[in-house]
Amino acid sequence: MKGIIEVEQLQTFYVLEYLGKKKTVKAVNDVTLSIPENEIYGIAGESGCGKTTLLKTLFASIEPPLQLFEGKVSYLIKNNFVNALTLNGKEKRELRWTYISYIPQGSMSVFNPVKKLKVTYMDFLESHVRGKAGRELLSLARHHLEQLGLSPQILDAFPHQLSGGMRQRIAIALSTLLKPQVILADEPTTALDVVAQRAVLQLLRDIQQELKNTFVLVTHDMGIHANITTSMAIMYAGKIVEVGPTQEIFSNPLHPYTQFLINSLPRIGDKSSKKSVPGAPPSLLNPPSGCPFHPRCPEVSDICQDKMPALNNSTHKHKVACWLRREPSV
Amino acid sequence: MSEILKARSLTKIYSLGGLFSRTKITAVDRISFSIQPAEIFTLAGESGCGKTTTARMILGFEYPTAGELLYEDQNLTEVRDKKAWFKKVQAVFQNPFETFNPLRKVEDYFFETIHNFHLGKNEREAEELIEEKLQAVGLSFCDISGKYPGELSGGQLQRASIARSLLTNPSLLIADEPVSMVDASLRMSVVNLFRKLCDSFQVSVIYITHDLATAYYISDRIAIMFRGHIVETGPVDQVLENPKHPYTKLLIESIPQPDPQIQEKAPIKFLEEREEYLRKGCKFSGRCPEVMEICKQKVPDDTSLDGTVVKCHLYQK
Amino acid sequence: MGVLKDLFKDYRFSVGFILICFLSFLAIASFFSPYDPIEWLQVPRDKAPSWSHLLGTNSKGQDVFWEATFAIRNSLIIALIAGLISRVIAVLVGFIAGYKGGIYDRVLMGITDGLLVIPLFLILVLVAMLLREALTLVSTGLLLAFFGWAWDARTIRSQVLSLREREFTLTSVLSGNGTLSLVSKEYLPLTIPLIFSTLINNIAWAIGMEIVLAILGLVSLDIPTLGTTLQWAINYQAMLLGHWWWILTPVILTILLLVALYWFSISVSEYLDPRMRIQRIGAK
Repeated sequence: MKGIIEVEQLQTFYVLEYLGKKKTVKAVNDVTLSIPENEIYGIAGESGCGKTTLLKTLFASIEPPLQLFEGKVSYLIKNNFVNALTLNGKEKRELRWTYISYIPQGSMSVFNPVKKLKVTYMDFLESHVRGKAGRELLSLARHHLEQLGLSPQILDAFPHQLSGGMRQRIAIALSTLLKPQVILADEPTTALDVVAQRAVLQLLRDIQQELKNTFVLVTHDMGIHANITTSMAIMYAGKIVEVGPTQEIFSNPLHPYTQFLINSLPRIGDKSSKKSVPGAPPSLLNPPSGCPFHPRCPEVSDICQDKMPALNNSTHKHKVACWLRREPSV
Repeated sequence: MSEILKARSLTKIYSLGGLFSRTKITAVDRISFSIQPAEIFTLAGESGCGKTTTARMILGFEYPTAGELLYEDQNLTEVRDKKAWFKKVQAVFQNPFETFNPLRKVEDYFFETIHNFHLGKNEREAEELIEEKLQAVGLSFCDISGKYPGELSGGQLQRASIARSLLTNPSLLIADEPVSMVDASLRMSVVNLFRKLCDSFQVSVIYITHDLATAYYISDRIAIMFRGHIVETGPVDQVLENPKHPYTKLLIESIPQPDPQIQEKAPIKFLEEREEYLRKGCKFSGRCPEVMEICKQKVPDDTSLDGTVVKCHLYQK
Repeated sequence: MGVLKDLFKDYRFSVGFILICFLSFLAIASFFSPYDPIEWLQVPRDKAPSWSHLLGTNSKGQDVFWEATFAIRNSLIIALIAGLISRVIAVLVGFIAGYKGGIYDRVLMGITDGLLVIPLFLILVLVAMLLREALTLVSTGLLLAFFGWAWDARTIRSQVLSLREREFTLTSVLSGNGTLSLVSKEYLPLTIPLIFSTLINNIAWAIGMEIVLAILGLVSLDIPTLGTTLQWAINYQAMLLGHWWWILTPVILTILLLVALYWFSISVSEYLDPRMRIQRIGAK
């Protein structure tokens, strides 16, 4: 089964050159993913594991120092696959907002503090959408907000009059204005407290149910993945280590890293002691050899240090990249 | 047992706005609580509930508008010597990457603390003390020696920050969202650390967070704050397993449970902070599912109930 | 030494540095001049460049080359006095206003804004006219210093204001640091690039201002500076009479000096930029 976005053996690295010294940060290192249609897809991983870079690449926004080394990202547009990374600037611009939207991290703080929200938005929309007058777009935006249960008067407010949660919800609501089929959201709930988080998640779910489109939600918070995603991928040091339906990942995590992540989550009513992963996250500048998790893995064996396991090609949707979970060789 | 810190009707009022339209916002409204020796006390609530303002008042970075803060029966507002105060009360902050100046070595802060508080007679004694505190947080001096903050991971920096705050052997440590920016895979080790410090060094910790799950995991007592009021306080098991105030119930229900089985939640109302601060009566009445007529008129009094104190008309006789 | 090695990889720094070395060398050479800088008619007048007079002679009967060495030296002295003293004022005002805030901030920024809104050029001309004969090197430098700090004090203040809100300020206070050590240890390293680039810009501004005052004839014209040399050349209609060597020498030297300062400043401030410094620290 093919998804709406297919990622094949993607490698995008940051190449930094400073005073003659060249450094390569392997942010996305050999990632293959299939993002299914009409659901909320989660990508989990801690800071600096390359998840934001992956999202930027999915959005086909590769700008120096980020460079594409290998692989491709295909969008499914009207039953045809289009390689997004070979499109030219104009073609990309045409797809943005109508086919694919990107909500960057901290987008709630991008509003111009001295302008009303609608002014910022009109400037932005007018530069992205051709053929529609400002007033038409504004009434469209108001209508859209109303449909999502947000007060349209909010557009007349200044950013500082609204809380972070409200600004984030408006940023999300307006990024879906032109009903894109894919929405990429980078840490939309970070820096919000639980109540505001819940309101944002509620909004994401509402939009998804209304538009029947695909959300790619990147966050480090496993609780949020459990709450809203249908299937998900776990990323570690630039690589995907586990993919599968969220329910299965939570009930039967296969990768030792995923096991740690899930078992270390505290719950109310459970006072048992929780442990976190030993050691520290690796640097993407020179990631460990073989499986990047091996220096921290409690079940490490010799082969882990030499070779990176591939995602096992079981017929199940739930796949893992770990030597421990290989089926015995035939 | 005697309390080490007591807050009595602590109040902080900010006035906002321009020359002509000043509005007064009571960020912290007559709150009272006390900290026992060697306990972890959580101040929980959503952003803008006054928890950070309370912390800043305890640290002496802000002066209370009214009320008093007593440390071993000495009123903090009368303490002129800030340095003597910081010897007893130290703090750990939210963002480990911002805790230390990026252009200075992490160890500089350790040596400075020792020098400024006269904790060691010579270099060797200073290093021994640093090593001891770093060991306590699971680091060693060679891990940080000669390093700049950019060379350490968030988890290491947060541990270093805790170790630095322990140098003066404080009796109270204020931790303002100390794990919200630490990587998920390391978070619990930092949380566990606070428990360990509390048990082995007899430090009391004021743990400030919006994450009730970790609060439940480590703390002894908890106070739930909402728009400047403490709406419910008591032993953490009591408050979180058997919440009474509708706001506490809402907070607990909002935690993203790590269980994909329960995905759907009832929609909630979401109001702006400013609007709620200026509300008459119970500040929560705007979105309370059990709101009554009296809630909109009068701020409820504190009511004791099963070992907890609740500020809600539902429980008032 | 590693610092210089890194800096020399930037061509702007290398060129700027070489130019500044060359000009300083000229300034030092003035001490070995065979002629007196003020005396007239020491050599035959209006001679084109030749081996005995490298850049020819002027209508006052002075050797243009040796005159130029004095001019560079004196202009640099004025600019350095102006730049350094105005930096001291700007840093003090900026830091105190930014860190202390409250009444200190309001009073200091009141004065600063006062200086900013008065038409600076007119005041300079007025003061220069009044003091004219008293305007030696040092007093010209002081005069420019007094009018040259206000804008930079504001810039430094705003940077300190934003630093004050960062968490490491609190860490430093909790480490027992007093105001003075907090400011010097935490804030100064982060503001050095700003101070340095404003210093170089200020030096360039002072050189330009001195030339303007000299051309208007508002400083003591006996002392050779880049400005007064130019003023004499214009006054004697050097261009019209075809004495190009006389007028081009100060013009070219001024351009070289300003270009050198500009390149020097952008490459050094790029190097000192905290973000770049953090990257370098991380790169080791």
